[in-house]
Amino acid sequence: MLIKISRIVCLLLIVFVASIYIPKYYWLKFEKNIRRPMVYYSPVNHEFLISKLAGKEMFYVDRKGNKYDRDQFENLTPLLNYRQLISVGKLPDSLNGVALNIESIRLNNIMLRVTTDEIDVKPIQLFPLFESRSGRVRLEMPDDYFRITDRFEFLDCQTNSINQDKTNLFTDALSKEKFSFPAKMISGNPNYKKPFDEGYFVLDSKNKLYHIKMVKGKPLCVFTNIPDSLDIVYMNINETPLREFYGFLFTKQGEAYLISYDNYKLIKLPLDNFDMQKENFSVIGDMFYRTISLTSAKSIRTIVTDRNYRVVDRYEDFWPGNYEMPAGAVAATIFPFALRLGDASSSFSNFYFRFSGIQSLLISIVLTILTYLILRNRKISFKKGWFDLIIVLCTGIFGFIAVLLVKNIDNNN
Amino acid sequence: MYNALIYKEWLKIRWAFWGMTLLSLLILTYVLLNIAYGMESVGPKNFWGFVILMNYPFFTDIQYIPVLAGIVLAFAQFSPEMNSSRLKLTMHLPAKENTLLFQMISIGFFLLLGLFILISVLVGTISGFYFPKEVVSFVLNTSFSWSIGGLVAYFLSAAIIIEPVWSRRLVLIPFSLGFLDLFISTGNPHYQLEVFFLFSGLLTSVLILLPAYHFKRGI
Repeated sequence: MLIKISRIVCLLLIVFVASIYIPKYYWLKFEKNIRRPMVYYSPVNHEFLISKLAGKEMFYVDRKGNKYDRDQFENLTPLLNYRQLISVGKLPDSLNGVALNIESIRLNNIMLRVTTDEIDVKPIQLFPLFESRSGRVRLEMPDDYFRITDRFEFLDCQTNSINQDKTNLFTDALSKEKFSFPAKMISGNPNYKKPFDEGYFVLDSKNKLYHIKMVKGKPLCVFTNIPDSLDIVYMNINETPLREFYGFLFTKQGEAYLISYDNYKLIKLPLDNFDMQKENFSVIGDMFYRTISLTSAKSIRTIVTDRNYRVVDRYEDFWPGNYEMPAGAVAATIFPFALRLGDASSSFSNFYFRFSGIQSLLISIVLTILTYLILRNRKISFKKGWFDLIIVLCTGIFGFIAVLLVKNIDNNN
Repeated sequence: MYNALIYKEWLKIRWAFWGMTLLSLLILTYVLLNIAYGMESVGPKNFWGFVILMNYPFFTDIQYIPVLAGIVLAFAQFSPEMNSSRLKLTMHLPAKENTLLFQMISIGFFLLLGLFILISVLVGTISGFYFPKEVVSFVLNTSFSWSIGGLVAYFLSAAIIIEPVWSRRLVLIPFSLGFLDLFISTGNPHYQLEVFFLFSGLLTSVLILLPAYHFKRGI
């Protein structure tokens, strides 16, 4: 009996390894690198410009099918390409009746971006709290990191011990603001190269959102009044000199909001059915518009709003994924399923199972019949070989390989 | 008889075991010195930044120790058995063959388990000396699959060594390497596969019975 179990484990090991590596090698050979288009909005002709690649040459098209080369594209997106246009002396003096100068273009150009794998991640829950008003031009990394468990703890990097005074100071400040320990979510920008510091946005255990920063060594803790019913699942804080918003947040319902500097008022972005597990999110902003793009592996949805976040225009495009191409159809027929240990949509290593669909069953049935004939040839009765047949029927080519490689043990066990 | 078997197996693998323990201690010392050097050269706050904000894996030097230990112990324990087919003598002891085999691999298993626990405790202690518990947890989470990979390497190597026919060995080797790769190449602490690693790792211990059966039957 134990020998039979050993053989089954051997079969399962081969099926398991084959279902990971055979599809992997197949796709190494046949996968087509699908280049996702970038979509821009021209403040000059108020049209979408979509990047395309023909061979190695990049060009742009609009919805009417007009083609633009790089120079034309740059002229149509002067705010995005202002440095290039300045260098060739082609930056217009004004646009849409507004005078253009480098400072205002630079100030108003913003870029917000988050990809699916940056959302599905679990960073180490320790954060540096910068001195936000040090009087210095550049921010400096602090000598300690904080965590928010049952109190606001600072850990000194030099001694790897808790800084009690600072811990008590911040814990008391948060308690005074009725912060409910521990923190559920902490979001801030720990990059010391940012232009200035706005500290962290922290969701307490009762889903109340607080803004916490350090000003001249003292804690500043402000309750944002953002409703605790919002179901925040992701926050991204990114200081920009424009100081229009602190960053953005996503809710469980797939809504996206900007957290404005106007008393933390939320600005809802006009997105429909945003799926943060599948769609990368980006906002390109300039003096006139906000171009919000949601890009998945097979589609892009772009919404352009004015500076008051009213929708100006929308664009949508779809393209076939690898599984919709001939190589994908072949893979779906040959492999009943495929296993992967990682996925582009997540930072987690896990098993990502892809079932190919009913079309693979035909091959599995043929292979099962073939296995039956092979077993008969090996003089193995159905009573002894039924498990092999089940394995081949369920796992197709992978099971067939396993059964071929691991011969049945004889009748004496 | 089990005690006599333990002693016999211990005699075979003691040098391999002490050798791997010594190698582990040397590499852990290197990890310790490397952290100390990093803290000194870039300063604690920057080194913490590399580790906490960029997940700098300061401990990856230990990544391949468990697998190496597993393979070395399996060779030390089972390759002498295969010379002159000495395993046949063991199998003629007055006990069930499968029980004997399980007893044999249990010795290697417990020694490796002890070694990996020692490595984990030491790397946890070293990390805990310089970093907060969150980092220690990151280190132990990441290295967990490497340790289980060491046990898998031992079980699979033992099965491959005992297998008497080269053609079947050549089947086992690539699939074993592919399976082992899942445990070692996971340099990502963000995995949710602890239960799978543990369960499938221990399940591979049963694999030894099939090649042993082939050996006994001379097929």
